[in-house]
Amino acid sequence: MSTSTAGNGALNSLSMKVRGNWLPIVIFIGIVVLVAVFVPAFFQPSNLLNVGRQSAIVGVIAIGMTFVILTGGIDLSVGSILALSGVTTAMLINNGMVVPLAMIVALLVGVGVGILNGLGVAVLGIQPFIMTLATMVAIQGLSLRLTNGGPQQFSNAAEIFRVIGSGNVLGIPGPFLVFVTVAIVGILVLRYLSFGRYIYAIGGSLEAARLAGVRTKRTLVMAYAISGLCAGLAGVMTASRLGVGDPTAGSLANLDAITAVVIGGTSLMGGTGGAVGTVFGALLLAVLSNVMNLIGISPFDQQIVKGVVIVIAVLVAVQATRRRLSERKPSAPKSGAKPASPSPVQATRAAL
Amino acid sequence: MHDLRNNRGSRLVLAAAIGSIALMTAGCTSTGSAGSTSENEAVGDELAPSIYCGEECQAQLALEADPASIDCSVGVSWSSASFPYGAKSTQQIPEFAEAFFPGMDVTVSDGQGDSTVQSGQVDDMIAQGIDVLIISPQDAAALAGAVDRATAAGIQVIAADRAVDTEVATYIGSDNVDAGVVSGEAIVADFPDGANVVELAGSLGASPTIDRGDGFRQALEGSNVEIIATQTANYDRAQGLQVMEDFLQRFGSGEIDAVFAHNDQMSFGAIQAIKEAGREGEIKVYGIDGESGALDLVQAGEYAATVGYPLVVKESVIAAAKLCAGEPIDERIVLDSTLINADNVEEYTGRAPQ
Repeated sequence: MSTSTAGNGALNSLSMKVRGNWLPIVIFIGIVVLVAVFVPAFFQPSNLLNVGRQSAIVGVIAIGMTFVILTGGIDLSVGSILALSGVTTAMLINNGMVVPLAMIVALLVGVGVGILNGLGVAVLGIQPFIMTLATMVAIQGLSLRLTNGGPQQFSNAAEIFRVIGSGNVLGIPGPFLVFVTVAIVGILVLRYLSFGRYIYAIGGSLEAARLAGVRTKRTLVMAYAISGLCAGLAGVMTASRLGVGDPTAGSLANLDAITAVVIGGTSLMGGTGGAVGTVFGALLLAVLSNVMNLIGISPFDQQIVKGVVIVIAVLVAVQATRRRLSERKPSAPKSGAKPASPSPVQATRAAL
Repeated sequence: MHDLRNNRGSRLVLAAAIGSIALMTAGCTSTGSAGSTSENEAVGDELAPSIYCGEECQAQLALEADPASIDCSVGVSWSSASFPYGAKSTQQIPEFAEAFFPGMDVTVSDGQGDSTVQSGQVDDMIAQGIDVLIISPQDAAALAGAVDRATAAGIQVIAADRAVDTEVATYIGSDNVDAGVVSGEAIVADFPDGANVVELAGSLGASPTIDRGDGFRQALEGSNVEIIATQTANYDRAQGLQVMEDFLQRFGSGEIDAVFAHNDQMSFGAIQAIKEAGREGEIKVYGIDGESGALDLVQAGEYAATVGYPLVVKESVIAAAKLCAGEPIDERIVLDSTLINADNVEEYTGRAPQ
């Protein structure tokens, strides 16, 4: 009896998870089909590579952001981290540091700010919105101070650095490859590592996760550190792409990344969603702006269209989540036969 | 997040926290700390307006008093120090003042792109008892009240770079419409048989965007130069790159002759996109601002032309000195919009407008 319920539950949760993850992909494919009909120029191979490259920066940030949002938090500081990381890379290279080392330092800077965010949220109990707002403002100030407000030019960069931002590997844009790699790692971590399950558990209920023995503080700090790392990586990519470290770069990257995550079906309340959806959310944003430029929609109307598409995409995703949650209810008494589920971690997993 | 949704108290906390962050970052910096790191060649070694101040402007700014005799307190209120023009202005004004007017005490504040913040800072300066206010308002109408209060307190006001909707002692700046006109005329001159131009516009709704775009269109009237597409890239290099990539997809080889960007940063992005597409031979890029990096690219032949939109650092400080000395000043002092292209770039190297 108990094994069969468990089996059912597992099956159930699997099918729900699959449906949940497929939805953003379905939306994405739907839009691409529409585009195929009306904008043939979109499918020029050179344009597809173009869109892949354009999706990469926001995509990488959004994968990191997914970890934070799954815990029920938010990270507003990613754009500032992007700028600081780019500025750091440029200044270190200009001061003669070897490029790979400069990149590593820039990534560590991102991780450092992320840890700071995480400590503020997990240990000091500051609300994520406020904590990351504070670092957003402060870190931007730091970048401006370091550079006196002007972009830091650099030219003497190594080949590997160039590839990350603007080169191609086997005809595929380097930034897109970085995005794909980060996405795969993110998806695997969230799905298969216990750390990933803890992230979902905290998003479901911080208290329940703590009582179940999840080291919630450490997990939260790591989530923000991952977001910082991804933003730092995006900063290195941007610096490489532009050949400058720009202290004002990425000023709206936080909103774009959050949008990508939410369009991808991850709830801002935490606990549901995942990195697969985020990938397609980021791609959708890139396709949207590319297509509007291709067909020459006026800049004013572009903003309106973008807003409408975001609302529709999120509405569809929210409806789907509600449906999944209400479908779960009838089965609840069955699993409730066992008085206390063995661990809230599994309970939240089932809810996915 | 749950708390944010459900608890009114926490909204208050949120508001308070945002407010306190704003306060923390609103702090005034004074002369001493700003000077340490920036390029001092920007200040120059003589007390004179920049080369972008033409003959009339020079005459308007002739200082009769002995610089050493200037003894007064000047407040500088800039809309924001978080963009290059504002950052350079807020750094260089105190440096230039310190170098040539030892008796001039300069206080700088950063309005952080917020009219309310900037207005409060002006009130603080009035309370401090400054003699002259140099203000570059975030919004011409929103700062008019603060400027009126300053005037009522006997403070002489200089509007720098941006006008303010009320009476001031003088306005010093260069004209965005002019800059657009000069850029448009350059394209018309370079393409006598006509050309297809794509436009990378600045932030939508911002007055420099509207003025530069209008001036450009005025210059094209009656020519065969045609704007075939306009898109905003928010004065941002990365966005300029991205929008240009899309334009290059949309318009095949031979369909674009020139790019007009509302600032140098977007031009840099466009130049990179054009290079990456291997189309640098067929598309010329024109922009506005005249950053030193832009002059390098003009010299290298990668950037057809930029139009100087000069800083008004030296002019503002000299005007402040004139007002301190009680000398009369004209109410409008305009700097030139100078076309910088391959023919004349060498004259300006090392003396970039920005």
